[in-house]
Amino acid sequence: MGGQEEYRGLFFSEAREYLQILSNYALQLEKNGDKEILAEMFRAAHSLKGMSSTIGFHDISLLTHVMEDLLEKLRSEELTMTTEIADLFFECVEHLEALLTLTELGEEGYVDEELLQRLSMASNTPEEKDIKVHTGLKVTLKPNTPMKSVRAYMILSVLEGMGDIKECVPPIHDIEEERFDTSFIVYIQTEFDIDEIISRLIAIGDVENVEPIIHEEIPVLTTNGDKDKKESLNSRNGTVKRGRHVEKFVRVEAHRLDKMMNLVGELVINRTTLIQVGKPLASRELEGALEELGRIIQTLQNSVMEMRMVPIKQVFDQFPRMVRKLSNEKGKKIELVIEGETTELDRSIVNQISDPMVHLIRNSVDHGIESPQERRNAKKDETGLITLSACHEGGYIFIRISDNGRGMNPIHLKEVAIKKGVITKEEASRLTDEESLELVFRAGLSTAEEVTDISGRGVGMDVVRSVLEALNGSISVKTKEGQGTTFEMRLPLTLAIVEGLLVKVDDNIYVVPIESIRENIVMSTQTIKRIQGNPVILVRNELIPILSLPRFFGEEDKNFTAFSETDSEHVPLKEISLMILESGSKKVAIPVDEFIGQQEIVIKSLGGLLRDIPGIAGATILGDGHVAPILDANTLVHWGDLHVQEGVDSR
Amino acid sequence: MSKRVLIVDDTAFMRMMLKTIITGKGYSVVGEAEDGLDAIEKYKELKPDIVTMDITMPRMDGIESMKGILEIDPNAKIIVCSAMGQKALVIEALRLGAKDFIVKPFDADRVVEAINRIS
Repeated sequence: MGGQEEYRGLFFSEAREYLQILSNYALQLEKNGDKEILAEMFRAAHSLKGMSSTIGFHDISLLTHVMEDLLEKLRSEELTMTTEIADLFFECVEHLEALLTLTELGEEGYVDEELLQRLSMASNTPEEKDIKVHTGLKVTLKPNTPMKSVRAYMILSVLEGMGDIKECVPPIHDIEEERFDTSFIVYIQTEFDIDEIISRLIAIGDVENVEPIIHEEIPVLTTNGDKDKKESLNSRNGTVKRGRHVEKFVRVEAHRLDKMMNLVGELVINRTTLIQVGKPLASRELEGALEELGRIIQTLQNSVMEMRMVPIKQVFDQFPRMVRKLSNEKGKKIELVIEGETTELDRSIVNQISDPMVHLIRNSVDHGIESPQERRNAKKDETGLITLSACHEGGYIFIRISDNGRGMNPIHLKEVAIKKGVITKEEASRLTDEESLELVFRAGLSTAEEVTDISGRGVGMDVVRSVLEALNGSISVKTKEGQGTTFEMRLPLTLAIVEGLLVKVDDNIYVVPIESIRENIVMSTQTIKRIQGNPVILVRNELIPILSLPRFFGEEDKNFTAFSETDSEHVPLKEISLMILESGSKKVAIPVDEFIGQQEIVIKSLGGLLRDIPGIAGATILGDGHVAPILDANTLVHWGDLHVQEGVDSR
Repeated sequence: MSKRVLIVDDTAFMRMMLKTIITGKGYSVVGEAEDGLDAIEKYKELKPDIVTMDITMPRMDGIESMKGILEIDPNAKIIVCSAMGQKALVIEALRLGAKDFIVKPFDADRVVEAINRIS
């Protein structure tokens, strides 16, 4: 098991998820024996079984196997749902939970033999009870049998022809993987006479011996390697040791946490209201109490958040092994550097970014990093470098995957895209280099000259992008031919509460997440310059585009019209306040009439028609009950960037 | 009457090994084939009681050859010979109708046992 340590974390978190599914559905199952519910439960039990036998937790896999069996019978209507069966499932879920917890703590959990028996009894339909139930056979192979698993296959095939195989010890999966010494046990439900079965099995090559097992006799697991370990099934009393550790964990459904988070949000709003109401009273006591309340709310909010946060390490841990394996396959030398693996993010996000990341890293190994020979020719270090980093920045989590490989050529990308019919020649001629790079995210485009089994099937990057967008995140790419490529994923923290700045523009109040604001400045209109009619300002030698919020949202901007007139002579001389937003390395300046103040805001997601308004990330309820939109700095900055770019290009 | 065996293997060395083992135990080797196609021809011609079939061979592999033979004679008794690590292929062969398998390097007793069992 030792080598699998790294996967333990993933195993337990995933196992708990399946357990969650089982327990959720067990509740519904009692009410109605819906086929879909049964199918879901079956899948969950099946996955758990597979996972646990792979990692070597045989007791868990044994229990889930029997559950799976029972579920299958319910699904195929061999059995009908009863309260008793539902109760059994609850017991199983509880038992599994305890087993998982014990195992996670490194203690040994035993499967409850008595529970197993009751389960297998339950899965026998009444008619079948007359038939010989569960004949146990211990099959022993000759020592040094070559291809034991194939022999086992022959044995099991014969048995399958004679009845129903109920259970194997060790589990069938282990037998297939040759994880048994010389013997294994098969429980079979059959109408054949036991001597008949034995004589047929003996006729198979390399079978040394077949002996029947009386049901009371407890089977002994014999696995390769840990023969001396007292077999888990041997626990005659069969109860799980409910140790002192078990109570340390409480399983809570995710939506309960969401509800709590929401309530904390309401508290924040309420506190703001209280502050406003209390202001005219000018009471020191009230102020003090409110401050204390604020601190408590803050702590409460942090604790709820913490419950949902997990370190990204869970995902990152699988990559060193993957990169090593892939680079060996491809004959490349690659070093993987991981940074910021302790960065935490919401659990639900962690679960979903694993696949996109696998894809991106495979791409880096496959297409990004060159072969040692190529690298030598390019006077680069023979060993390629892939850097994986995660960090907190401006209210988002950024995950970057960069390699110092061959990079991408925008012109080449365009050619491929034209050839594959993703864009027309005409469209291509209009694309800037940056826009051309975006082509990698289009469906049907793969720049790999040759399709390999690692990546480059032309599906993938578009899927990666849509996964991220579904999470409210985004992905961008930067590359320099010959020097490497960096993919950057931006993900929300799913912080439902952020620190925001309230600003007034044309009598509308907007909220800007404080992390997105670089600085607020006051400048004379004289300093405004124009590039192709687009107003920009120069701050510390940096050209920053100016964006009018009302205009962005399609309204008229009385104050702003002056700025955009091409004739600078006519701009009235006055001071204006500008708020400079930053996203990545890009900035945009937004004229603001008034800075109202900073406060904690609760993000409420916008539903329906309002969801996809560019520039708006959500809305919040202010202390006075008004609703204010929250600006999405990323979109605004991107807009500004495009405009300046256009201007610079066409100048 | 002693059982008549057809040996199919692309290496002359392996054929000789098997032949020695088999004839030593009183069976007669009626023919040898060097590849899958050859095996089908020889099967038609010789009608052996038992075939030992190597899996990896040029022109036509043992699996395909088996299919061909079983088409001609669904009761053909075929023992597949495999190298270590060809588990999946052996299972496929068994599924297709091979009666047993032996693993290289050959253990004389196991070979004889296999032949004994199916004759």
